[in-house]
Amino acid sequence: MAVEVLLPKLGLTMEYGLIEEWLVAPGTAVKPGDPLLRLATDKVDVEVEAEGSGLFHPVVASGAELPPGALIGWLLETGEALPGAPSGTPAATGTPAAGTPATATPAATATPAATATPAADPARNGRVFSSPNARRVARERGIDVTLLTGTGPGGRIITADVLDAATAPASPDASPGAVSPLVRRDATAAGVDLAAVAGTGPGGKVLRADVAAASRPAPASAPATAPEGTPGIAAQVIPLTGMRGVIATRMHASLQEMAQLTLGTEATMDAAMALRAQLKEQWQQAPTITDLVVRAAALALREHPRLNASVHDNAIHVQPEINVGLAVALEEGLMVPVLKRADQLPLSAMAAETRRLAQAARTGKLTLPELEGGTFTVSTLGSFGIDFFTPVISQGQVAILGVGRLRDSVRWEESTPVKTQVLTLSITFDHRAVDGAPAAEYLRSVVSRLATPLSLLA
Amino acid sequence: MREITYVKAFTESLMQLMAEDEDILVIGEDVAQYGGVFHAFDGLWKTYGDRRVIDTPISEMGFIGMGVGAAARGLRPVCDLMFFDFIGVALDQLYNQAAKLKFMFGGDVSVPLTLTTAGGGGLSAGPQHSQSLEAWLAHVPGLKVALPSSPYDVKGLMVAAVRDDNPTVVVLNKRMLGSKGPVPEEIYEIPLGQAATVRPGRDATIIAVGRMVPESVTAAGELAESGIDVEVIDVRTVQPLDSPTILESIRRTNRALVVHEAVTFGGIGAEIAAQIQEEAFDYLDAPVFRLGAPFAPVPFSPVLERAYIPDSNRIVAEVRRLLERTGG
Repeated sequence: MAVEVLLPKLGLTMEYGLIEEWLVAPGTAVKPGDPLLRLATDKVDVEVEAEGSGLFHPVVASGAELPPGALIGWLLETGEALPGAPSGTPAATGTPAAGTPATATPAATATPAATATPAADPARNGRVFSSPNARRVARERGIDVTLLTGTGPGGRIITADVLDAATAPASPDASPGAVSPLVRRDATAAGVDLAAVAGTGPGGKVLRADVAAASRPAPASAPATAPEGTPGIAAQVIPLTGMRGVIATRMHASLQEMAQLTLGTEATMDAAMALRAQLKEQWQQAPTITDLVVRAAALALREHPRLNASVHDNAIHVQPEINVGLAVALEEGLMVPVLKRADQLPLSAMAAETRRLAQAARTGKLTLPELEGGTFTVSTLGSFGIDFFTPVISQGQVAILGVGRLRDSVRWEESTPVKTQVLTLSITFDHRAVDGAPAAEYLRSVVSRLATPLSLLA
Repeated sequence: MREITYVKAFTESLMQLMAEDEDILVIGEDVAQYGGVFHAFDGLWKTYGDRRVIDTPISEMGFIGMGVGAAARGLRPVCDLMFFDFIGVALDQLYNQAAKLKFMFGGDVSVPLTLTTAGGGGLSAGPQHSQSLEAWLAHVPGLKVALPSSPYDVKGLMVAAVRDDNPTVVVLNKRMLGSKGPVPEEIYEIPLGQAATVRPGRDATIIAVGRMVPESVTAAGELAESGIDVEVIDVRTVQPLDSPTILESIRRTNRALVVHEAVTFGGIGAEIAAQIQEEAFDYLDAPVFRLGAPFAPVPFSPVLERAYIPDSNRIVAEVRRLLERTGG
């Protein structure tokens, strides 16, 4: 029997996924665990694996941007026709060639999911019963409560139903003309009239790509003569899409909306390095220098909660949890997996977790939940030989700690020079939320914890 | 910490208050040699004598009026009304005189009167000796009303009430008089208008009054066994009412049940429910439930009275109803 393959939902906030590349040719026999495609969201690139066995037939082309739950292909048995195709038509002819532009109409083959609609009850006057809190949460997450099935008393939609819907694959049959809040925001930002945009999504839904296309100015006429290049360097155009596009947008927006400035100071690392040498003998995984700094930074945030905050809606929102994002450099960009409740992780557990997250980041195995919820970030360029830098704050946070290179230095005891090891820490903070003095105090607190590193073991 | 009974915590509060302030005196029926019908005043007369512990005839209107006058003239009287049910005969002194004088004299007069009384049912004392009438008094601007739910709260709230410069009613719960709990030996105050979160939780909030607080805690313990994590708030005073604490909790748990011994209709639960829907409507996942007594006098029959007053079993059932998910 033909089995649908749907676009997976990788996290609460995922609204669209871009099919970057099909990893199997149409008609290939696959079994559970075989990689089918590379999927990009605005946060993460992942390989999507087959969940069942059969001959895989994609029904959309690579390059298509679709909401979670959209039909992207079928697992068929040998000799089985693609559902919806005229009987007798061989399956292979129904599949688009790889590389076909995203304008292929995936909606044509999408089957509407069987959404359980609440039975019509004349006593309700057509009202959908939902709790006020459910409506608030739905509003905040851009979910339409009228599409949900209530499990509360008398079939009332309650918060749990909204949260369930936020994590479950969405129904693919978007009503024509429906536009996600994300797309609406894009359109507003770009000054694009949504009514004038032809949607290429399921059922003619306007996607982010459509807005982007509509906002692009008409190409200027090409220069008459190509500029003379340096021999050996080919001209190259790298589109600001995927991870590159996200980094571009986020970093620019961060600098535009915040009042950022950076303070730097030197941390003496002799005691920390001595402790690390001891731990190396005793622990299976000794903490890295970054681990020590992250631990010190997380503990210091407890004392300085104003740096663990977010500015929005004309207010500083101090966060109840300390979740430290860890910037990991990758070949094509960077990712920031999040250490949840970093202040409550013992050093040994933290060392293991940072190793795991960094490894997952490098192999593209990070999941969206592992990238969400950060309240503070630590970025290190020490391994690249950088002594000092001014990191840029992640959006939704108010501070980021930069960690420089561990280097030899000199400390004076009376008039005798003593060799010592130091590194430079820099804190970039949002001056809207924090002033210089408290930011300096925070930095001093991190430095003093590194100078007395036994406190990091507590 | 040592444990003493609810009633001894009351006696101790007065013993210590009277030692620190010579203007404090006790007025009431049988409060002197006899020590009060519940022995709440035992030993005070022996220690402080006839001038400061005064027996009166059965004359609530008279001796509460005497308290109002004494308070207005600078003393700090504690008048004891044997049963809350008797408030009717003396109500004018309380709501028309004590509560109003400060306002009518432009602040030149204050009435630091404390009225102590015993309310609540469960002792088969009949319809005229078992009532919970706190909502009547909470409705009157100028009065404060405390309902201690433990020996610790009795002492702390009594100290705050007597030291308060405005008329305050402290309603002891008759059925709790013998219950024991930890009480510090030194004198201490629990601010009037500060609720206590006696048990933190995340699935629902029970807002309880007086003896319904320990019942709610018992219920919460039982619910915890089936994985339901209930927060219990003791309002401590129904006037002033600590609305911020209640609302903050509801915004976290999204569900509220108000429990009191008084008749549900027009009880303080109605006020609390109304405030919740006004201030935290968008945070509710269910209607605010109230659990109180039915609209009937307190029965004399022990069997009927048990059915009349809410208990932990009924609180458990109401919380389950509050959290019910029928579908899915």
